[in-house]
Amino acid sequence: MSDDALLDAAIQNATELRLTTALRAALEQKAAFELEVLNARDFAIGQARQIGELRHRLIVQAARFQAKENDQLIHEKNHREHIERLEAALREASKIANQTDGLRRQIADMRGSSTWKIGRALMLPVRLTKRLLRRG
Amino acid sequence: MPRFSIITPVYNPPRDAFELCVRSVLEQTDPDWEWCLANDASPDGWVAPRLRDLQLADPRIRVVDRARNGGIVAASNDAIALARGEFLVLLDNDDEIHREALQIVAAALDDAPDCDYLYSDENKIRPDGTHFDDFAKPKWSPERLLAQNYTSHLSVLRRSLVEQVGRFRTGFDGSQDYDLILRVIERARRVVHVPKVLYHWRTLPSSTASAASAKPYAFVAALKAVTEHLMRTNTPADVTEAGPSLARVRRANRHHAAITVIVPIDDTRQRIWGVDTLMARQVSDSLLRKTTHNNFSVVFVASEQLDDHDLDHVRTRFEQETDLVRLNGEFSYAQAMNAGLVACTTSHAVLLDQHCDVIDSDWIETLSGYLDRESVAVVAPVLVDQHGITLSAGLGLTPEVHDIGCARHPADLGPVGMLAVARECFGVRTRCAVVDVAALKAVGGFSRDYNADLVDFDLACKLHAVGKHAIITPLVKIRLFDELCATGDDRQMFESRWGRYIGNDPYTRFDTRERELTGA
Repeated sequence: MSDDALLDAAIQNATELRLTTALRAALEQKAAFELEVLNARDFAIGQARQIGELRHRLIVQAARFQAKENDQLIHEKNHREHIERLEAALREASKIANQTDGLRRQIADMRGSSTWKIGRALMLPVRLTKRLLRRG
Repeated sequence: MPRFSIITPVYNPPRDAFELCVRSVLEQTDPDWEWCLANDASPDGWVAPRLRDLQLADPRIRVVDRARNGGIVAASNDAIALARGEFLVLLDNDDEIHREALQIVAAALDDAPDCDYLYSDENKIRPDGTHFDDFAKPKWSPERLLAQNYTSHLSVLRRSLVEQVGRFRTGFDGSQDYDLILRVIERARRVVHVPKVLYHWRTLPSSTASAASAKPYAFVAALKAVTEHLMRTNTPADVTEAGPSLARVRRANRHHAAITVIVPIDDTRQRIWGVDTLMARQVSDSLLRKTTHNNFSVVFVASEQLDDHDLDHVRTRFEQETDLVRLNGEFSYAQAMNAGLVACTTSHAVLLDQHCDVIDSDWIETLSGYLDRESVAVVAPVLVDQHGITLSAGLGLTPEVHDIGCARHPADLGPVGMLAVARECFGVRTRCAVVDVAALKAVGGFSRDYNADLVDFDLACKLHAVGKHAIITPLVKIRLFDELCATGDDRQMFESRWGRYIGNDPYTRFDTRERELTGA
C-alpha cells in the first residue's frame, strides 16, 4: 500500500472517529434536551394545575361566601322586619300609655272634686258599719 | 312514544314483593314511561288477574300472557316486543326502583345524548324491608365488566341497539342480562354511570342477591358470555373462575412485541432472605431468571455511586441488548425513570424498580396484554411484601390518598371481589409497571417535586386529567423488598395541585382501608 493510501486511510479513520464522537455527544445532548423537555412539561402542568386548583378553591370559596352573604341578607331582612314589628308594638304601647295617663289624670281630677269628697263623707257611716259587722 | 319502557318478565313472584315492585313503578316522579310485563305462564292463580287489573287501571301498563312457560329469556323478549320507548329499563318482578329513578336517569341522558347504555348504583332489601349493602360502583370500567357483571342493576339500554344485537339470547339463562350488556357495549357510543342508588335488589332465598351460589348455572352462562364477547372483539383469552361470580380473563399475547425494561439502579444494599444483597444485582437476577418474554432490551439508569465493577457484573449477564444511562448528581426515582423513558426506543416500556422480585414468569406478556386499548397508559401488578401480604393493589383517593388493599391477605377478594379481578383504577404504583411511553412523555413523565411515594399519585392525576387509564391486575404479583407510604412532606404540594381529586376517586368511591366495609 502506498503512502498516499495509508494517509487516506488514516484520515478516514480519524474522520470516522471524530464523527462517531460528535454523534455520541449529539445523542447525549439530545437525551439531555429531551429530559429537560419532560421536566419543563411537568413543571408547566404542575403550575397550570396549581393555578387551576387555586381558581377552583376561589370558586368554591366564592360560592361559599355568596351563600353566606345570602344567608346574612336574609338574616338582616328578617331582623329589620322584627325591628319594625317591635317599633310598631312600641308605638302601640306608648299610645296605650298615653291613654292610661289621661285616664289616671281623669281619676285624680275626679277624686279632687268636691262632689267626690261630699259623697265620700256621706258614705262614711255606712263604711264603718260594714267594717264592724265584718269584725263581729 | 314514552321515553322509557320498563321490561319485566313475571313468573310466580312472591305477592308482597310484586306489589312493592308495582308501587315503586307507579310512584315514579317522571311519568314518561310504559311498563311491559310478560307473564311467563305463572302457575300461581293470582298473577294473571292481577296483571290484567293493572293493565286496565293504567294505560301505560302493557301485558303479554305467554301460553307456555318459556323461561326468563323468552319472557323478557316478549316484553321487549311490546316496548315502544327510546330506552329499555330492566326490572325484575320482585325488585324495586327508587321513586326518582327515571327522573334522575332522564336528566343524565339529557346531559349525554349519545349515551347508549346507562347504569346506576344499587343496594339490597332484606325480607323485613330494610336496605343494606350499598354498592358504590366505579365509573365505566370495561376491564372489570369482563370479570364480573358489576353494572347489573339499574341497567338502561337504548332500544334500537338492543334490537340491533338481537335482544336476549337463549342459552344464557341467569346471565342473560350480562350477555346482553356485553353485546350492547360492543356497539355503544357512550356508557354513563349514575352514582346514585336507583335500584333495590330483594334478597330472597332463591335470588342471586342473597348468594351467588343460589344460581350456579348463571355463573356458567356468565363465563360463556364473556368468552363469546372476547371472541367477537377479537381478543383471544382464557376465561376461568377467579372466585364466587368472578371471572379471570387471561389474554393471549399474540405479538410478543419488543419492549424496553427500564431499571434504575444504585449502590443500595439490603438483607434479602438473610443475605446481604446488592439490589441492582438482585433485580437483574430476578429479571433474567424468571422472565419468559424474550423480546426485550434493558436500559439501566445508574447512579454515580454504583461502581463500575458492580455495573459490569450486572450488565454482562444479559444476552439481550442493554443500554446504560449514567445519572450524575441527583438520583431521584422520578429523575431516573424519566431518563429511562428518554432512552427508551420502543412504544411500550416496563418500569422495574431495583427492589422488585419477579414471581410470575409470564409477567411481561400478561401486563402487556392490557395495553390493547388506546386509553390505557399504565398496567401494573399487585405488589406484595416478603410474606406475601398485599402492599398495593392500585391507588385510591377516597377519602384520602392510599394504597388499595394494603395489608390484606392475597386470598382476600376484597369488597365485591374487587381485589381478585383486573380493573381500571385511578392510578397504580410504578415500581413495576408496563407503560405507554408516549402517554407518559405527553404529561411530562414523573414529577421531580415529590418523593418516590407520592410521585405515583401525581402521575395518576396527570394521566387521569388527560383521559388516560390505569389498570391493575391480580394475575401478576411482584414482590417488593421495600415499603410504600402515601404521606410525606410533599403532601402539601400534592394538595395544591390535585386537592379536588382527593375524596373524589371515581373508581374507588369508598375507603378500602376499612376492614369492615358497609359499602362496596
